[in-house]
Amino acid sequence: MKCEEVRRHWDLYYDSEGDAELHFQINEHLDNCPGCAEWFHKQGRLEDLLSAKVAAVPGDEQLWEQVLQGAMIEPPAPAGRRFFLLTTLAACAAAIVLGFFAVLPFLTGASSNSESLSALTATWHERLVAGQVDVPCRSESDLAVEDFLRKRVSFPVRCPPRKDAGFAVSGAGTCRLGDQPAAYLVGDVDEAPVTIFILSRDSLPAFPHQQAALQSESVHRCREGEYAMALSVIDRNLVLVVGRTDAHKLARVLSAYGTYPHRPAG
Amino acid sequence: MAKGQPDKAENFLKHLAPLQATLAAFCRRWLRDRNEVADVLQSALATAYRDFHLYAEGTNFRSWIFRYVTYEVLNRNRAAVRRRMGELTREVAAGEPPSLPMDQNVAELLLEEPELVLDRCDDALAGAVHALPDLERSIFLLRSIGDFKYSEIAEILEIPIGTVMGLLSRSRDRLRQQLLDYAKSHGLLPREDRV
Repeated sequence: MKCEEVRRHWDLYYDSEGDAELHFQINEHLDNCPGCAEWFHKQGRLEDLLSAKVAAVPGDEQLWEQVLQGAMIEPPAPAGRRFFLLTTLAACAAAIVLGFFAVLPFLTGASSNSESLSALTATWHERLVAGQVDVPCRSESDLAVEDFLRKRVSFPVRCPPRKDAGFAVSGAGTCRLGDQPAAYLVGDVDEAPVTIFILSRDSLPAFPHQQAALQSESVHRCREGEYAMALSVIDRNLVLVVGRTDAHKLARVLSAYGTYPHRPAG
Repeated sequence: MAKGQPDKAENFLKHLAPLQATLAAFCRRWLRDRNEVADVLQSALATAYRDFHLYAEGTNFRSWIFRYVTYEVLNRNRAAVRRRMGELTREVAAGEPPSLPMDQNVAELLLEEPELVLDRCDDALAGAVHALPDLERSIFLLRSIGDFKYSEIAEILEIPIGTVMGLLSRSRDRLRQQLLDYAKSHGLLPREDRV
């Protein structure tokens, strides 16, 4: 492909549209043409900034209250006897759960933050690696797994990190982390199993520990048992990469998430 | 309606919650009269909620609910949208949209340091988005705010995928041109000799 032709397909490439063959040919050209790689990078950067600006409309806290009331869609309101029963049950359940988690570290030796996102994802990763979870989509195609997930989750997901970032995808599925919907991508980094968990950015408040960590750093690295992790908010996603491999390799995979449009290194 | 069906309301709201900010932004950017945002969302959600039994659990709720909101916005602007859709469809059917004149040197300056312009052009950008023809605006917003794929946009708007591709590209060109004009007239661009 010549430069002019490659640049004409920028929209398709940036939007992760078009067929895999087209992406392959463009990637091949970009790997050998620094001028076009730079051009693609700048175009993508401008479009990213533009989209972020367009999406950043000031919120109106009363809007949804008004909308839902007007549409007569109201969450069930506990009242009277039902309220009493429910609150009593909830209090009992909370006491049991609190008691359980109070003694859990002594029983298992696990970290005290056992309900954190890191603990939940480590458990899921372990189950996936052990084959205890049936991965619903088995494919080595970036576009195929992206397409699979887009049809199954209500938040945006993007293509897995490119193979040249070190991640070779092998499948995808959905799960719940705590009470939050999530998608996962399974694959390898240097033959070590690695899982990428993708949530809506709106799920972050459900994980206060990670939310606090990401307020002071853009990429949060941590360990959970024998697993290394890297976590960040990328565009409209909360993305966590977990595996038993070097943390810097996971961070590299994390930084390549959602960058299917080719960007030059540095 | 919702009252007396707590499970249905709870389930609907569970699906809706992560999309609220996106839907509100989408309506605010698309509707010419921002005072209509609450009204449009209310009508669209009332209809979607009525039809919620038709939604298949596990499928793409985002796409499903956007279809209702899009339909409602289109209804609000029916006359104007029909007129413009007709014009644009004819244009697209006739071939590639005519390329817009863009000073490449100035365009390069925008690419070089986009933050210089974008950090100071909130109103200009809002105006530029509103100035897009309705169909272009809807396609651009479904892509940039909704993060939908071309095929999903085509399905939501019931137009050919080729029209989506052509008009999305054109809307991007138009917005960039508007930003360039604004940046030039306000002296926001770096000097050409620096590039």
